[in-house]
Order: sequence, then structure tokens, then C-alpha cells
Amino acid sequence: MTASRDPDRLIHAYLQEGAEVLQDRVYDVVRAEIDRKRQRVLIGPWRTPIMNKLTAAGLGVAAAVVALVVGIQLLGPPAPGGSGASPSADPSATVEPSPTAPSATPWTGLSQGPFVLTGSADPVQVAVTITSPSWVALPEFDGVGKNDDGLDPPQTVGAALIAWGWPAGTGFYVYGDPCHWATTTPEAPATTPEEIATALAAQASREATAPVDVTVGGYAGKAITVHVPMEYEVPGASREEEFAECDQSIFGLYGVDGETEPARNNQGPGQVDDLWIIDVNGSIVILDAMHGPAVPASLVDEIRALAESATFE
Amino acid sequence: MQVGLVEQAQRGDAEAFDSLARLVGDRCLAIAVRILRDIDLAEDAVQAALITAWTELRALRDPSRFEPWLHRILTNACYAEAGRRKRWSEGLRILPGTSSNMPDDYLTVDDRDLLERALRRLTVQQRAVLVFHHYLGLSISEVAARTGLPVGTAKSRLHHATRALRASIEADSRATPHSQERLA
Repeated sequence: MTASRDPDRLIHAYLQEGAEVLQDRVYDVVRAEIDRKRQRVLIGPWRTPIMNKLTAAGLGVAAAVVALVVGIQLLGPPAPGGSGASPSADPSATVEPSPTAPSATPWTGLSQGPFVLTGSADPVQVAVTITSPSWVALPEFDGVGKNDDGLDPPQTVGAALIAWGWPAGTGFYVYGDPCHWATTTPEAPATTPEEIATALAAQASREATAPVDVTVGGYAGKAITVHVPMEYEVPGASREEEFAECDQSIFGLYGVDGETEPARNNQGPGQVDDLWIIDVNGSIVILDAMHGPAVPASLVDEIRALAESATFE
Repeated sequence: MQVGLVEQAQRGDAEAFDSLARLVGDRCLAIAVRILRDIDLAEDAVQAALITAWTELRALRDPSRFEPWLHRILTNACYAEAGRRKRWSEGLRILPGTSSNMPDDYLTVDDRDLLERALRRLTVQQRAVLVFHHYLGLSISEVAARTGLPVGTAKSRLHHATRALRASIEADSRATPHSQERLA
């Protein structure tokens, strides 16, 4: 190769060479695996309302449809000692569903009545009271979700309640900026509901509500609502693409002692998290009722009521 | 057709996914083998990527973006394979070359050898951006999307990969000026 020949063109030409054919045996292995593996249920998709064209024109804004398919990996790892899988570097985007083939009997979801979210190994047992049909268990994440995709059984859920129970003494590092969490981790952790809620209220870009005193299941704590700005929205893009400008493409909420990455992440632009931060005999329990921007108010009310029905043991 | 198959597969139709896999499998293999420089590793990466795509398919928001989405999964599968089984073959045989008075995109055997050696010296992440840019002809923003990098990082990585590739080729050219005579 001489200097007179353009290396870039040669690189290009070399990479164009050759045609590959994937062997049938590979397809056969894939087919055998997909026949064995179930697809996973998602939280989401969340959609913003489709605005009436006249309204949009009148307001001078463009209506947008957002499909926020939410991966549970974005929730961050399960709470330590939880009933779900151990925290992993790449937690699954989704959770195992009921079988997808049509069932002989109609799918009715979880039975109404008490439902234990957390596992026996958790520092605190959290139970809620299911009062309507179509709730689905999200056992890997100590939570429940509500079917809103019209499918039976559900393939996606539009709102979910997750319980996070942390051992007594856990320190919470609430980032100053959820997008640039790696460089805005506080030196000293928050350890009480008040400290955690205050730090969350001050978190950049959250449009958080003011923390309020609450009592859930006889235990005191703080409640706060935080948001993920819609400005990150890239229609059709993955969560990582939308949060590409953020540290490790993660929009973080908080970290905990001993972890180098956020213990709790957000799923996508527009996400709303209603948080109840409760002190249960020294253990911090965080109930997170999460939903998209267009979830019906009735479902938001229902999931809030579900969180407030929590009891602790 | 592909969108229809994706939508069917998202509803749990394994047959549709099988058809979809057969539509995109060859191209996936072509990408993987160019990134990994090894057909066995590439087949393993494609297999892993297709299985992951099946389980995570409902996370795909826009069915028309199936292939870019799959390519990103494939890229990660390639990284995993490269990390798991580092067994790059070395010592390619240098065969007689031909005159250098060739069109710029005409590759001699010597060219191929130099290019192959140079590519193998790059990291798998560098090869990935080169493959998406030069083989698929993607823009930097598309390369970024398929490799999970911010656009600026993808641009920088492509720049460094190209520079490293050129430097490697030039160094090899200087080191073996008479390769044709020695090894023909």
C-alpha cells in the first residue's frame, strides 16, 4: 500500500468485501430458545395525549405522540434482600409475564385483597390492598402494575407501585442533578425521610412538589412527587438514546451506601413518581407509584390509594 | 412487511419472529463478523442478539426501528463475545502483491493483509464504529445510536479509530517493504 492511495477508501473497500450467510443451525437454536423463553411484560407504554389539531394550532404547539416503553432496568436494581433477583449490572428491561397464549379462562389479574409486595428476606414486609381487577404482579421488583394495554393477559402496564425496603442505617445519596449524577453526588448521605425528601425537592430539573408529612400504616414519613422533564423526549428512541447526554445514559434518583451507580433510575421523559418515604422502626421504606404523563387520573388515584393502603411488618 | 412481523412478534408470535430473524440474520452476521473478525464468535453474537431481541421485543417503541434497535443489541453482544473469548488469530500469511498503480479502492492481497492486521489491533469498540460508518454507511448520529454512545463520543471514537488504523497500516508498510519478495 503506498502513500499515494487513500487509506480511507481502502478501509471502506475492505469492509465492503465478502457476503455472509447465517447458517440454519443458528436460526434453529434461536427458534428453540424463543419457543422456550417468554417475552417480558413492560411497564408502559406511556403516551402523551394526542392534542386536537385545532387546539394545537390555537396554542401554537405541535401535538406529539410519545411511546414511552419503559424498561424495568431503568428502575434500578431491586432493594437489597428483596424477593426479586439479586441486583445485577444489567437488570432486565422487563419482567416475566403470564403465558402469552390465549388462556382457556379469562385472565382476571391479582385477587382483590391484601397482597404482599416484598419478600420474606426483606428488612420490612410491605403489603397493600388490591381493590380492583387487572393488577399484575411484578415479582422481580417487589411491585404491582396495572394493565392498560387492553391485552389479556397484559403485556404492558401503564402504572406501577414498587416498594423499596432498605436496612436500618442505609445512607441515601440524592444527586444534585439527576442527569449529571456522577458529579453531583453529595458527600454526606441523607438518612431520614425528611433529609431524603428535602434533597429530592432540591434536585435539579425535577419540578418536585414540596415534601409533606404523611402517615402510612401507622408510620410517619414524607411524601413528594418528582418528574422527569419532557425535554429529553426523542420519539421512537430508546431510553439510553434519550438520556444520552446524561452520565452513563442514566437519569438517576439516588444512590445508596456501597453502590457506584444509582440505586434508583428513571424510565423516560414525562415519568411521574409519587414517593412515600417512610421510617419503619429505623428502616427506610420507599413506596414509588410511577406512571406516565397520560395515565388516566382514575388510575393515578387508584395507585396512590394502593400506596396509602400499605402496611408494614 | 418487516413492521408487520415485528408487531406480530411483539404479541408473542414466535413464527413471526423466526421469519423476521431470517430477514435480518445475514446482515447481522455481516456486521458481527466485521466487528469481531471471527466467524464463530460472530455467529455466537448474532444468536445471542436474536434471543435477547425476542425477550425484550416489547421494549421496542417504534416497530419500524427494529433493525437499528437490533443492531444495538448486536453491538453489545459483540462486545460480550469479544470479552469472553479473546482468541484473535495472528500471523496471517503475506502473499505476493501487485502493482501499486491501482485505483484507490482496488485491494491487493498485500492491502488486505495490512488492513486485516490493522483492524485486529483496534479495540472491538473502535471496530464497531468503523463498521457502522464504513460498512453500513451510517451518519455519526446513527453510529452513536447503534453503539449506545453520545454523538460526540462516537465522532471522537471514529476519528481515533481511523487515525489508529492509518498509523498501523503505515507502520506495517514501513516494516515490510519487501514482503512480496520475502514471502511470495
